[in-house]
Formats: sequence, structure tokens, C-alpha cells
Amino acid sequence: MRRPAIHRDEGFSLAEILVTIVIVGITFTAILGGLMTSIRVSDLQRAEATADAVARSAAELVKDSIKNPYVNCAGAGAYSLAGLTPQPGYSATITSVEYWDGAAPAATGTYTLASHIQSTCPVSGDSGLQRITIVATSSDGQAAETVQIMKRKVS
Amino acid sequence: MNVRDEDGQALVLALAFLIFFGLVIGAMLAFAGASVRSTERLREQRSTVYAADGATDAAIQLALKNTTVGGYADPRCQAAIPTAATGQILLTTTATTSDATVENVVCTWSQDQFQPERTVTFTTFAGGGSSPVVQATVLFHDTQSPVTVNVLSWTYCGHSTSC
Repeated sequence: MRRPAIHRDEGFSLAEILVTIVIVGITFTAILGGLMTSIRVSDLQRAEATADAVARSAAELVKDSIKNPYVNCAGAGAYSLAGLTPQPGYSATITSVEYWDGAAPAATGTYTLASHIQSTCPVSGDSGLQRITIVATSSDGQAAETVQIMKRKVS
Repeated sequence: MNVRDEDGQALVLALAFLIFFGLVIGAMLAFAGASVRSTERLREQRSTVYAADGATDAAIQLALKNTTVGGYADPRCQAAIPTAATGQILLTTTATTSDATVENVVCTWSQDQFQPERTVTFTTFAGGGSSPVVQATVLFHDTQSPVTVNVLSWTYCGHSTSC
């Protein structure tokens, strides 16, 4: 009588199981890593987008000549962000006000404005143009957005 | 039936599992990457528009303080409204933010040499860009003292708006 082949009923081999465990382990590690990266990036992106929106709102508020009339030789505290209602955990501040020196352009050529912006108000008085830098930040320090605007004296 | 035909099926399943989740992770990371690029693009766009606004305001102030700017045949301006930042540029400005946005303003001089008041069009381009960002037409009341400004139009030149 022939003996039945027992090996036909045997389960997975040890090598097969080990290889499978290694592959599944690597896959799960990669999945978790990918998920964590995706979550972190998404969180950072949301924080930056929100800070950007806060910075834009603050910039519009400062540019508004009715809510924030032009102040000659204004300091950083001269313009108010009182009407700004940023999302909780975000804030905006005016970090600097710089001033145009009022220098006249040459008869020909290009006027380079950056060379005529200074950190102190001109001795001759305000020339009607200021460069204002606004920074919006999240309280957790994840995002900081800087906006620079020019404010012109309305005549 | 040979039961040994099922040998190695676990490995095949594991590989299929690996490939499937590899694709899922790839898609997730691509999505996150697209979001980051989108935010970055939005930030650039915002910087460009604010810088263009500021450069245009600066050019207006420059023309307000210097009544020859934008007058008939002023060599600092151009005869016709430009479609690219080529030829004479009135004013250039660079932001001190990390992106150091550069804007170039081209002015178009008043067309009527007998008109005592200047009507100047300022067209602002981002860097050496070929398409304008902001275009403003301004009337300077030179007969008044001090000179006053009347902004006749202020157009943001987007994809749907031609300047």
C-alpha cells in the first residue's frame, strides 16, 4: 500500500513566513512614515496658508486710508491693526516703517526706489511714501509670513 | 490536484500588498506636495501683487512730486502703453522680503502736449515679466497747488483681464 504524501498538507515554510513578515513590516513602516509626513506637511501648509491670509488682511487694513490715515514720519506703532480679527493662535504686527527720501529722478534713466528708502524719516520731512513691513505668525512658531506694502499719502 | 501549487502564494500576496500600499503612499505624498506647491504659488502671487501695487503707488508719488514725469515726450516714459517690460523703465523696486520681488514700472506720457494737466498711465511688470500685473491711469492736476492726484483707473491684469 502506498503511503500518502504528508508533505502535500504542510503549511508555509519558515523562509516564506519570514520573508512575508519582513515585507509586511517594511510596508507598514513606510505607510506610517508616509502618513506622518503627509500629516506634518498638511499641518504646516494649513498654518502657512492661514498666516498668509492674516498677513493679507493686516496689509489691507494698513493700506486703508480711512481706517488708517497716512501719518507723517509714522513709527511702527502709528498704524493700528485693531480691526483685525485673526484666527485664534495667529497674530500680525507691523515690524518696520521705512521712508522714501523724496529724491528727484534724473532727466533720463530708471529710478531705483530701493536706493531711496531709508529707515529714518527724512530731515526735510515725510515725502508721502512709506514702506511698511507686516509679519503674521502662528503662536506655535510653525508659520511666519511677511508682507511688504507701500503706503502713499492721499492728496 | 497538487497542493504544492500554492507554495509561495503568501509571498505573492505580500508583494501585491507592498505594491498597493506603495501606490497609496505615493498618491498621498503627491497630494501633500501639490498642496505645498499651491500654497507657495499663492504666496508668490500675493507678493507680486502687493509689490506691484506698491511700485505703482511709488511711481505715482514720484510723478506727483516731480511734475515733469509723464509730461509730453518725457524720455523716462514711453509713447504707447507697453505690452512687455522692454524699453524705458521709469522706476524699479526690490522688496526686502525673502523672495526679493522685483517690479518695474513703465509710464506712458500724456498724449496731449497742450493739456496743462498730465494724464499718465503706469504699467507695472513683475521683474522682466512679459505680462503686466497692475495698470493705473492717473490724472495729475498740475494747475493746483499743491498738485493733486485723481486715479482714473486701477486694473489688476489677470488672466481674464487684458491691460
